[in-house]
Amino acid sequence: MNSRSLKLEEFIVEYPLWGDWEVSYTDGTHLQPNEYVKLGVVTIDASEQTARDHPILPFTFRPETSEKIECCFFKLLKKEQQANKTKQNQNQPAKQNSQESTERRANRAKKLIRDELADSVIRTGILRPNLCLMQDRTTETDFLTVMKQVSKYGSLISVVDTSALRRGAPSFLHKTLSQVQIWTIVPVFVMTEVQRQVTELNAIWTASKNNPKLKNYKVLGKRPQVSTISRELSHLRQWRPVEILTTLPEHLGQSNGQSKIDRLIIESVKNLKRDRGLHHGVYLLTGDKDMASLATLENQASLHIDVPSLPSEISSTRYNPYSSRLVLTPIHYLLWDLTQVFSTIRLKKKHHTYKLCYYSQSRGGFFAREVLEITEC
Amino acid sequence: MKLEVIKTSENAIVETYSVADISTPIFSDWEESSQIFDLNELSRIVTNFDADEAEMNVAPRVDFYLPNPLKNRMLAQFAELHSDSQELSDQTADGLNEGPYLKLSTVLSAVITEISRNHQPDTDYQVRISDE
Repeated sequence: MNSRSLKLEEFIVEYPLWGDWEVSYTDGTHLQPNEYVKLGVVTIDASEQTARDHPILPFTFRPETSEKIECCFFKLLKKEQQANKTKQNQNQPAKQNSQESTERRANRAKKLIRDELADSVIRTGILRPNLCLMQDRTTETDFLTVMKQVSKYGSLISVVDTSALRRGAPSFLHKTLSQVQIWTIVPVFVMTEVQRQVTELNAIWTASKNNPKLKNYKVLGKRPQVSTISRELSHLRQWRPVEILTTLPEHLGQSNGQSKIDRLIIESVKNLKRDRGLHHGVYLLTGDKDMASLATLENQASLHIDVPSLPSEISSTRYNPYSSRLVLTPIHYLLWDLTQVFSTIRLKKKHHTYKLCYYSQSRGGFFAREVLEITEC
Repeated sequence: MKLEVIKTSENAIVETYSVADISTPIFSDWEESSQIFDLNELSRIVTNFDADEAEMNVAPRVDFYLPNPLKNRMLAQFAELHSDSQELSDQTADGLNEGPYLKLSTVLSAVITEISRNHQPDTDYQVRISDE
Protein backbone atom coordinates (compact mmCIF):
# COMPACT_ATOMS: atom_id res chain seq x y z
CA MET A 1 0.00 0.00 0.00
CA ASN A 2 1.57 3.21 -1.17
CA SER A 3 0.44 6.48 0.25
CA ARG A 4 1.09 9.92 -1.12
CA SER A 5 0.45 13.47 -0.05
CA LEU A 6 -1.49 15.70 -2.36
CA LYS A 7 -3.30 19.02 -2.66
CA LEU A 8 -7.00 19.35 -3.36
CA GLU A 9 -6.54 20.26 -7.04
CA GLU A 10 -4.29 17.21 -7.52
CA PHE A 11 -6.86 15.02 -5.80
CA ILE A 12 -9.58 16.21 -8.21
CA VAL A 13 -7.49 15.83 -11.34
CA GLU A 14 -5.65 12.59 -10.59
CA TYR A 15 -8.34 10.54 -8.87
CA PRO A 16 -11.44 10.27 -11.07
CA LEU A 17 -14.33 8.74 -9.13
CA TRP A 18 -17.46 7.06 -10.48
CA GLY A 19 -20.13 4.65 -9.23
CA ASP A 20 -21.32 3.99 -5.67
CA TRP A 21 -18.95 4.53 -2.74
CA GLU A 22 -19.48 3.85 0.92
CA VAL A 23 -17.99 6.61 3.07
CA SER A 24 -16.94 5.82 6.63
CA TYR A 25 -14.51 7.23 9.14
CA THR A 26 -12.07 6.21 11.82
CA ASP A 27 -10.28 8.46 14.27
CA GLY A 28 -7.28 7.58 16.38
CA THR A 29 -8.56 9.57 19.33
CA HIS A 30 -11.66 7.43 19.93
CA LEU A 31 -11.79 4.45 17.55
CA GLN A 32 -9.54 1.41 17.23
CA PRO A 33 -7.58 1.26 13.93
CA ASN A 34 -9.94 -1.33 12.42
CA GLU A 35 -13.15 0.32 13.62
CA TYR A 36 -15.10 2.40 11.12
CA VAL A 37 -18.35 4.33 11.45
CA LYS A 38 -20.36 4.67 8.25
CA LEU A 39 -21.19 8.25 7.27
CA GLY A 40 -23.17 7.64 4.10
CA VAL A 41 -23.14 6.62 0.47
CA VAL A 42 -22.03 8.69 -2.50
CA THR A 43 -23.32 7.94 -6.00
CA ILE A 44 -21.62 9.39 -9.07
CA ASP A 45 -23.87 8.42 -11.95
CA ALA A 46 -21.18 8.21 -14.65
CA SER A 47 -19.03 5.71 -16.49
CA GLU A 48 -15.28 5.40 -15.96
CA GLN A 49 -14.61 7.16 -19.28
CA THR A 50 -16.91 10.07 -18.41
CA ALA A 51 -15.16 10.42 -15.04
CA ARG A 52 -11.79 10.53 -16.81
CA ASP A 53 -13.03 13.10 -19.34
CA HIS A 54 -14.63 15.46 -16.84
CA PRO A 55 -12.85 16.73 -13.75
CA ILE A 56 -16.09 17.37 -11.90
CA LEU A 57 -19.29 15.37 -12.14
CA PRO A 58 -22.61 15.65 -10.34
CA PHE A 59 -23.23 13.23 -7.50
CA THR A 60 -25.73 12.46 -4.77
CA PHE A 61 -24.89 11.95 -1.09
CA ARG A 62 -27.13 9.90 1.17
CA PRO A 63 -26.02 10.51 4.78
CA GLU A 64 -26.31 7.58 7.17
CA THR A 65 -29.54 7.80 9.18
CA SER A 66 -29.53 8.96 12.80
CA GLU A 67 -30.76 5.54 13.95
CA LYS A 68 -27.92 3.67 12.27
CA ILE A 69 -25.20 5.97 13.56
CA GLU A 70 -26.63 5.77 17.08
CA CYS A 71 -26.86 1.97 16.88
CA CYS A 72 -23.25 1.75 15.64
CA PHE A 73 -22.00 3.92 18.52
CA PHE A 74 -24.06 1.99 21.03
CA LYS A 75 -22.39 -1.25 19.94
CA LEU A 76 -18.94 0.34 20.07
CA LEU A 77 -19.59 1.68 23.57
CA LYS A 78 -20.78 -1.73 24.76
CA LYS A 79 -17.68 -3.33 23.24
CA GLU A 80 -15.42 -0.84 25.01
CA GLN A 81 -17.20 -1.38 28.31
CA GLN A 82 -16.80 -5.13 27.91
CA ALA A 83 -13.11 -4.79 27.12
CA ASN A 84 -12.59 -2.55 30.15
CA LYS A 85 -14.41 -5.02 32.36
CA THR A 86 -12.26 -7.89 31.13
CA LYS A 87 -9.18 -5.87 31.87
CA GLN A 88 -10.33 -5.18 35.40
CA ASN A 89 -11.59 -8.75 35.82
CA GLN A 90 -14.93 -7.53 37.09
CA ASN A 91 -17.57 -9.86 35.76
CA GLN A 92 -20.52 -8.27 37.48
CA PRO A 93 -23.75 -7.76 35.51
CA ALA A 94 -24.19 -4.33 33.96
CA LYS A 95 -26.24 -1.87 35.98
CA GLN A 96 -29.42 -0.31 34.58
CA ASN A 97 -28.07 3.24 34.90
CA SER A 98 -24.97 2.17 32.95
CA GLN A 99 -27.26 1.05 30.11
CA GLU A 100 -29.04 4.43 30.13
CA SER A 101 -25.78 6.28 30.22
CA THR A 102 -24.55 4.30 27.20
CA GLU A 103 -27.73 5.15 25.31
CA ARG A 104 -27.33 8.83 26.15
CA ARG A 105 -23.72 8.84 25.02
CA ALA A 106 -24.59 7.06 21.77
CA ASN A 107 -27.35 9.60 21.21
CA ARG A 108 -25.01 12.54 21.80
CA ALA A 109 -22.37 11.05 19.48
CA LYS A 110 -25.00 10.56 16.77
CA LYS A 111 -26.15 14.16 17.10
CA LEU A 112 -22.61 15.49 16.86
CA ILE A 113 -21.82 13.39 13.78
CA ARG A 114 -25.02 14.45 12.01
CA ASP A 115 -24.31 18.12 12.89
CA GLU A 116 -20.80 17.79 11.49
CA LEU A 117 -22.14 16.20 8.29
CA ALA A 118 -24.60 19.10 7.91
CA ASP A 119 -21.79 21.62 8.43
CA SER A 120 -19.68 19.81 5.82
CA VAL A 121 -22.35 19.98 3.12
CA ILE A 122 -22.86 23.68 3.91
CA ARG A 123 -19.11 24.45 3.80
CA THR A 124 -18.69 22.69 0.48
CA GLY A 125 -21.65 24.50 -1.09
CA ILE A 126 -23.78 21.41 -1.62
CA LEU A 127 -26.55 22.76 0.57
CA ARG A 128 -27.38 26.45 0.72
CA PRO A 129 -27.38 27.86 4.27
CA ASN A 130 -30.43 29.66 5.64
CA LEU A 131 -29.70 33.35 5.98
CA CYS A 132 -31.29 35.85 8.30
CA LEU A 133 -30.49 39.53 7.86
CA MET A 134 -31.12 41.63 10.96
CA GLN A 135 -30.86 45.40 10.65
CA ASP A 136 -32.83 48.58 11.37
CA ARG A 137 -35.25 46.68 13.62
CA THR A 138 -36.23 44.36 10.76
CA THR A 139 -35.55 40.70 10.12
CA GLU A 140 -35.38 39.33 6.59
CA THR A 141 -35.09 35.63 5.77
CA ASP A 142 -36.02 35.50 2.09
CA PHE A 143 -32.79 34.47 0.38
CA LEU A 144 -33.07 36.66 -2.72
CA THR A 145 -34.13 39.71 -0.73
CA VAL A 146 -31.21 39.21 1.67
CA MET A 147 -28.74 38.89 -1.20
CA LYS A 148 -30.11 42.01 -2.89
CA GLN A 149 -29.97 44.03 0.32
CA VAL A 150 -26.42 43.14 1.31
CA SER A 151 -25.16 43.74 -2.23
CA LYS A 152 -27.00 46.99 -2.96
CA TYR A 153 -23.89 49.18 -2.52
CA GLY A 154 -21.77 47.01 -4.84
CA SER A 155 -19.41 46.30 -1.96
CA LEU A 156 -19.69 45.05 1.57
CA ILE A 157 -17.54 44.61 4.62
CA SER A 158 -18.13 41.45 6.59
CA VAL A 159 -16.77 41.12 10.09
CA VAL A 160 -16.71 37.39 10.79
CA ASP A 161 -16.79 35.42 14.00
CA THR A 162 -15.51 31.87 14.58
CA SER A 163 -18.81 30.18 13.76
CA ALA A 164 -19.17 32.03 10.45
CA LEU A 165 -15.68 31.00 9.37
CA ARG A 166 -16.35 27.45 10.50
CA ARG A 167 -19.43 27.32 8.26
CA GLY A 168 -17.51 28.74 5.30
CA ALA A 169 -19.80 31.77 5.22
CA PRO A 170 -17.27 34.17 3.61
CA SER A 171 -16.66 31.72 0.76
CA PHE A 172 -20.39 31.30 0.30
CA LEU A 173 -20.83 35.07 -0.05
CA HIS A 174 -17.92 35.31 -2.51
CA LYS A 175 -19.27 32.48 -4.66
CA THR A 176 -22.87 33.74 -4.55
CA LEU A 177 -22.17 37.47 -4.95
CA SER A 178 -19.32 37.13 -7.41
CA GLN A 179 -19.83 40.67 -8.78
CA VAL A 180 -19.72 42.31 -5.35
CA GLN A 181 -16.51 43.49 -3.72
CA ILE A 182 -16.32 41.87 -0.30
CA TRP A 183 -13.78 42.83 2.33
CA THR A 184 -13.48 40.21 5.06
CA ILE A 185 -12.40 41.34 8.50
CA VAL A 186 -11.36 38.83 11.15
CA PRO A 187 -11.16 40.23 14.69
CA VAL A 188 -7.99 38.97 16.35
CA PHE A 189 -10.10 37.37 19.10
CA VAL A 190 -11.20 34.78 16.54
CA MET A 191 -7.57 33.82 16.04
CA THR A 192 -6.93 33.53 19.76
CA GLU A 193 -9.94 31.21 19.99
CA VAL A 194 -8.48 29.02 17.23
CA GLN A 195 -5.14 29.04 19.03
CA ARG A 196 -6.84 27.81 22.20
CA GLN A 197 -8.49 24.97 20.27
CA VAL A 198 -5.13 23.93 18.80
CA THR A 199 -3.77 23.48 22.31
CA GLU A 200 -6.81 21.46 23.39
CA LEU A 201 -6.65 19.23 20.31
CA ASN A 202 -2.97 18.54 20.80
CA ALA A 203 -3.64 17.56 24.41
CA ILE A 204 -6.40 15.12 23.38
CA TRP A 205 -4.22 13.65 20.63
CA THR A 206 -1.27 13.16 22.95
CA ALA A 207 -3.39 11.62 25.71
CA SER A 208 -5.10 9.17 23.35
CA LYS A 209 -1.97 8.03 21.53
CA ASN A 210 -2.22 4.22 21.15
CA ASN A 211 -5.08 4.29 23.64
CA PRO A 212 -8.25 5.55 21.95
CA LYS A 213 -11.26 6.14 24.18
CA LEU A 214 -14.78 6.55 22.83
CA LYS A 215 -15.44 9.47 25.17
CA ASN A 216 -13.02 11.43 22.98
CA TYR A 217 -15.61 11.48 20.15
CA LYS A 218 -16.16 15.12 21.18
CA VAL A 219 -12.98 15.91 19.28
CA LEU A 220 -15.19 15.81 16.15
CA GLY A 221 -16.73 19.08 17.25
CA LYS A 222 -13.39 20.68 18.09
CA ARG A 223 -11.23 19.68 15.11
CA PRO A 224 -13.14 21.68 12.45
CA GLN A 225 -12.77 24.72 14.68
CA VAL A 226 -9.11 24.58 13.66
CA SER A 227 -8.89 22.63 10.39
CA THR A 228 -11.77 24.14 8.46
CA ILE A 229 -11.26 27.66 9.79
CA SER A 230 -7.61 27.65 8.77
CA ARG A 231 -8.62 26.27 5.36
CA GLU A 232 -11.28 28.95 4.93
CA LEU A 233 -8.82 31.71 5.79
CA SER A 234 -6.09 30.23 3.64
CA HIS A 235 -8.40 30.01 0.62
CA LEU A 236 -9.78 33.50 1.12
CA ARG A 237 -6.36 35.08 1.43
CA GLN A 238 -5.35 33.69 -1.95
CA TRP A 239 -8.35 35.26 -3.56
CA ARG A 240 -9.90 38.26 -1.86
CA PRO A 241 -8.89 40.87 0.73
CA VAL A 242 -8.78 39.59 4.28
CA GLU A 243 -7.76 41.74 7.23
CA ILE A 244 -6.98 40.54 10.72
CA LEU A 245 -8.27 43.31 12.96
CA THR A 246 -5.77 43.50 15.76
CA THR A 247 -6.09 45.16 19.13
CA LEU A 248 -4.01 46.39 22.02
CA PRO A 249 -2.10 43.57 23.78
CA GLU A 250 -3.85 44.31 27.08
CA HIS A 251 -7.24 43.62 25.47
CA LEU A 252 -6.13 40.16 24.32
CA GLY A 253 -5.99 39.01 27.92
CA GLN A 254 -9.72 39.63 28.18
CA SER A 255 -10.57 36.99 25.59
CA ASN A 256 -11.38 34.21 28.01
CA GLY A 257 -14.81 32.64 27.87
CA GLN A 258 -17.26 32.56 24.96
CA SER A 259 -19.47 35.45 26.06
CA LYS A 260 -16.46 37.73 26.45
CA ILE A 261 -15.23 36.83 22.97
CA ASP A 262 -18.70 37.57 21.54
CA ARG A 263 -18.69 40.94 23.29
CA LEU A 264 -15.19 41.78 22.03
CA ILE A 265 -16.21 40.91 18.46
CA ILE A 266 -19.30 43.14 18.61
CA GLU A 267 -17.12 45.94 20.00
CA SER A 268 -14.70 45.33 17.12
CA VAL A 269 -17.50 46.05 14.65
CA LYS A 270 -18.38 49.29 16.44
CA ASN A 271 -14.74 50.40 16.61
CA LEU A 272 -14.21 49.61 12.94
CA LYS A 273 -17.17 51.73 11.87
CA ARG A 274 -16.18 54.60 14.14
CA ASP A 275 -12.45 54.59 13.34
CA ARG A 276 -12.93 54.39 9.58
CA GLY A 277 -16.08 56.46 9.25
CA LEU A 278 -18.16 53.66 7.78
CA HIS A 279 -21.90 54.19 7.90
CA HIS A 280 -23.37 51.41 5.81
CA GLY A 281 -22.51 48.09 4.21
CA VAL A 282 -20.84 46.66 7.33
CA TYR A 283 -22.26 43.34 8.55
CA LEU A 284 -21.43 41.05 11.40
CA LEU A 285 -21.40 37.55 9.91
CA THR A 286 -22.15 34.91 12.51
CA GLY A 287 -23.51 31.41 12.99
CA ASP A 288 -24.68 32.35 16.47
CA LYS A 289 -28.27 33.61 16.44
CA ASP A 290 -28.06 35.10 19.94
CA MET A 291 -24.98 37.07 19.01
CA ALA A 292 -26.66 38.30 15.81
CA SER A 293 -29.70 39.44 17.81
CA LEU A 294 -27.56 41.15 20.42
CA ALA A 295 -25.57 43.02 17.79
CA THR A 296 -28.80 44.18 16.14
CA LEU A 297 -30.04 45.54 19.48
CA GLU A 298 -26.91 47.69 19.47
CA ASN A 299 -27.64 48.97 15.94
CA GLN A 300 -25.07 46.75 14.23
CA ALA A 301 -26.41 44.98 11.12
CA SER A 302 -25.83 41.25 11.26
CA LEU A 303 -26.22 38.30 8.95
CA HIS A 304 -26.97 35.01 10.67
CA ILE A 305 -25.86 31.85 8.85
CA ASP A 306 -27.93 28.86 9.87
CA VAL A 307 -27.66 25.21 8.87
CA PRO A 308 -30.85 23.57 7.57
CA SER A 309 -31.65 20.03 8.68
CA LEU A 310 -29.80 17.32 6.80
CA PRO A 311 -31.94 15.86 3.97
CA SER A 312 -31.99 12.10 3.40
CA GLU A 313 -30.47 12.62 -0.06
CA ILE A 314 -28.55 15.65 -1.30
CA SER A 315 -27.65 16.52 -4.87
CA SER A 316 -24.34 18.21 -5.58
CA THR A 317 -26.04 20.38 -8.22
CA ARG A 318 -27.58 23.51 -6.79
CA TYR A 319 -29.18 26.56 -8.38
CA ASN A 320 -28.07 30.05 -7.41
CA PRO A 321 -31.12 32.28 -7.99
CA TYR A 322 -29.06 35.45 -7.56
CA SER A 323 -26.77 34.74 -10.52
CA SER A 324 -29.19 32.37 -12.35
CA ARG A 325 -26.34 29.89 -12.56
CA LEU A 326 -26.02 26.27 -11.56
CA VAL A 327 -23.47 25.48 -8.87
CA LEU A 328 -21.67 22.17 -8.80
CA THR A 329 -19.48 20.84 -6.01
CA PRO A 330 -16.77 18.25 -6.72
CA ILE A 331 -17.12 15.03 -4.74
CA HIS A 332 -13.44 15.47 -3.91
CA TYR A 333 -14.19 18.70 -2.05
CA LEU A 334 -16.76 17.00 0.16
CA LEU A 335 -14.33 14.14 0.89
CA TRP A 336 -11.59 16.66 1.64
CA ASP A 337 -13.81 18.45 4.11
CA LEU A 338 -14.97 15.22 5.76
CA THR A 339 -11.34 14.16 6.15
CA GLN A 340 -10.52 17.45 7.87
CA VAL A 341 -13.37 16.88 10.31
CA PHE A 342 -13.22 13.11 10.88
CA SER A 343 -9.46 12.63 10.52
CA THR A 344 -9.46 9.47 8.36
CA ILE A 345 -12.06 8.69 5.70
CA ARG A 346 -12.41 5.33 4.00
CA LEU A 347 -13.93 5.35 0.54
CA LYS A 348 -14.97 1.86 -0.46
CA LYS A 349 -16.60 0.13 -3.37
CA LYS A 350 -16.31 -3.35 -4.86
CA HIS A 351 -12.60 -4.19 -5.32
CA HIS A 352 -11.56 -0.62 -4.63
CA THR A 353 -10.71 1.18 -1.40
CA TYR A 354 -9.08 4.52 -0.72
CA LYS A 355 -8.05 5.78 2.68
CA LEU A 356 -7.83 9.54 3.06
CA CYS A 357 -5.92 10.80 6.04
CA TYR A 358 -5.68 14.35 7.29
CA TYR A 359 -4.34 13.94 10.80
CA SER A 360 -0.83 12.65 10.31
CA GLN A 361 1.77 12.62 13.02
CA SER A 362 4.47 12.27 10.40
CA ARG A 363 3.79 15.82 9.26
CA GLY A 364 4.18 17.05 12.79
CA GLY A 365 1.03 19.11 12.67
CA PHE A 366 -2.44 18.72 11.32
CA PHE A 367 -3.40 22.10 10.03
CA ALA A 368 -0.22 23.83 9.00
CA ARG A 369 -0.35 22.54 5.42
CA GLU A 370 -3.39 22.07 3.22
CA VAL A 371 -2.41 18.50 2.32
CA LEU A 372 -4.18 15.18 2.47
CA GLU A 373 -2.61 11.74 2.48
CA ILE A 374 -4.21 9.14 0.22
CA THR A 375 -3.64 5.40 0.33
CA GLU A 376 -5.03 2.98 -2.24
CA CYS A 377 -5.82 -0.33 -0.53
CA MET B 1 -35.79 28.20 -19.84
CA LYS B 2 -37.89 30.56 -17.74
CA LEU B 3 -39.77 29.60 -14.58
CA GLU B 4 -42.25 32.18 -13.32
CA VAL B 5 -43.51 31.68 -9.77
CA ILE B 6 -47.16 32.69 -9.37
CA LYS B 7 -48.79 33.32 -6.02
CA THR B 8 -52.13 31.62 -6.55
CA SER B 9 -54.21 33.79 -4.22
CA GLU B 10 -53.07 37.00 -5.92
CA ASN B 11 -52.67 35.57 -9.42
CA ALA B 12 -49.42 37.54 -9.65
CA ILE B 13 -45.89 36.62 -10.65
CA VAL B 14 -43.74 37.03 -7.54
CA GLU B 15 -40.40 35.85 -8.90
CA THR B 16 -38.84 34.73 -12.15
CA TYR B 17 -36.04 32.20 -12.40
CA SER B 18 -34.14 31.40 -15.55
CA VAL B 19 -31.61 28.83 -16.63
CA ALA B 20 -29.37 29.81 -19.52
CA ASP B 21 -28.68 27.33 -22.32
CA ILE B 22 -31.63 25.12 -21.41
CA SER B 23 -34.76 24.77 -23.48
CA THR B 24 -37.76 22.63 -22.65
CA PRO B 25 -37.58 19.71 -25.10
CA ILE B 26 -38.85 17.47 -22.35
CA PHE B 27 -42.20 19.21 -22.70
CA SER B 28 -42.34 18.82 -26.48
CA ASP B 29 -45.87 17.50 -26.27
CA TRP B 30 -47.19 20.83 -25.00
CA GLU B 31 -49.76 22.48 -27.17
CA GLU B 32 -49.08 25.91 -25.68
CA SER B 33 -45.71 27.64 -25.53
CA SER B 34 -45.78 27.39 -21.74
CA GLN B 35 -47.43 25.31 -19.08
CA ILE B 36 -48.40 25.91 -15.46
CA PHE B 37 -47.78 23.40 -12.68
CA ASP B 38 -48.56 23.40 -8.98
CA LEU B 39 -45.24 23.88 -7.19
CA ASN B 40 -45.86 20.97 -4.84
CA GLU B 41 -46.34 18.65 -7.82
CA LEU B 42 -43.34 19.75 -9.81
CA SER B 43 -40.75 17.73 -7.89
CA ARG B 44 -42.79 14.60 -8.44
CA ILE B 45 -43.16 15.37 -12.14
CA VAL B 46 -39.42 15.91 -12.56
CA THR B 47 -38.59 12.73 -10.66
CA ASN B 48 -40.92 10.77 -12.90
CA PHE B 49 -39.64 12.08 -16.22
CA ASP B 50 -39.59 9.56 -18.99
CA ALA B 51 -36.32 7.65 -18.58
CA ASP B 52 -35.10 8.19 -22.14
CA GLU B 53 -35.68 11.92 -22.08
CA ALA B 54 -34.30 12.30 -18.57
CA GLU B 55 -31.08 10.73 -19.83
CA MET B 56 -30.73 13.48 -22.42
CA ASN B 57 -27.57 15.42 -21.76
CA VAL B 58 -27.48 19.17 -21.62
CA ALA B 59 -24.57 21.51 -21.10
CA PRO B 60 -25.60 24.55 -19.09
CA ARG B 61 -22.95 26.85 -17.74
CA VAL B 62 -22.08 26.00 -14.17
CA ASP B 63 -19.96 27.43 -11.38
CA PHE B 64 -17.71 24.98 -9.63
CA TYR B 65 -17.97 25.51 -5.88
CA LEU B 66 -14.26 25.96 -5.25
CA PRO B 67 -12.27 29.08 -4.39
CA ASN B 68 -11.38 30.65 -7.73
CA PRO B 69 -7.56 30.29 -7.54
CA LEU B 70 -7.93 26.62 -6.67
CA LYS B 71 -10.50 26.11 -9.44
CA ASN B 72 -8.17 27.72 -11.99
CA ARG B 73 -5.20 25.62 -10.86
CA MET B 74 -7.33 22.50 -11.07
CA LEU B 75 -8.54 23.28 -14.62
CA ALA B 76 -4.99 24.10 -15.74
CA GLN B 77 -3.69 20.82 -14.36
CA PHE B 78 -6.53 18.90 -15.95
CA ALA B 79 -5.86 20.49 -19.34
CA GLU B 80 -2.15 19.72 -19.01
CA LEU B 81 -2.84 16.11 -18.10
CA HIS B 82 -4.95 15.66 -21.21
CA SER B 83 -2.89 17.81 -23.59
CA ASP B 84 -1.03 14.85 -25.08
CA SER B 85 -4.02 12.58 -25.16
CA GLN B 86 -5.62 11.86 -28.52
CA GLU B 87 -8.69 10.80 -26.65
CA LEU B 88 -9.54 14.34 -25.58
CA SER B 89 -12.75 14.94 -27.47
CA ASP B 90 -14.39 18.23 -28.38
CA GLN B 91 -16.97 17.35 -25.79
CA THR B 92 -14.30 17.21 -23.11
CA ALA B 93 -12.89 20.55 -24.20
CA ASP B 94 -16.34 22.09 -23.84
CA GLY B 95 -16.68 20.41 -20.51
CA LEU B 96 -13.49 22.04 -19.31
CA ASN B 97 -14.68 25.49 -20.21
CA GLU B 98 -18.34 25.27 -19.49
CA GLY B 99 -18.78 22.50 -17.00
CA PRO B 100 -19.86 18.92 -17.10
CA TYR B 101 -22.76 17.35 -18.83
CA LEU B 102 -25.77 17.20 -16.59
CA LYS B 103 -29.00 15.33 -16.93
CA LEU B 104 -31.99 17.53 -17.60
CA SER B 105 -33.76 16.08 -14.58
CA THR B 106 -30.78 17.06 -12.36
CA VAL B 107 -30.91 20.64 -13.62
CA LEU B 108 -34.68 20.96 -13.20
CA SER B 109 -34.55 19.32 -9.81
CA ALA B 110 -31.91 21.85 -8.64
CA VAL B 111 -34.04 24.81 -9.79
CA ILE B 112 -37.26 23.44 -8.32
CA THR B 113 -35.57 22.67 -5.00
CA GLU B 114 -34.43 26.29 -4.81
CA ILE B 115 -37.89 27.61 -5.75
CA SER B 116 -39.52 25.38 -3.12
CA ARG B 117 -37.15 26.66 -0.44
CA ASN B 118 -37.94 30.27 -1.34
CA HIS B 119 -41.69 29.99 -1.66
CA GLN B 120 -43.39 28.30 1.25
CA PRO B 121 -45.87 26.81 1.77
CA ASP B 122 -45.47 25.36 -1.70
CA THR B 123 -49.21 24.73 -1.98
CA ASP B 124 -49.69 28.50 -2.32
CA TYR B 125 -47.67 28.76 -5.52
CA GLN B 126 -47.69 27.66 -9.14
CA VAL B 127 -44.88 27.71 -11.68
CA ARG B 128 -45.22 28.64 -15.34
CA ILE B 129 -42.42 27.08 -17.38
CA SER B 130 -41.58 28.38 -20.84
CA ASP B 131 -38.65 28.94 -23.16
CA GLU B 132 -37.12 32.38 -22.78
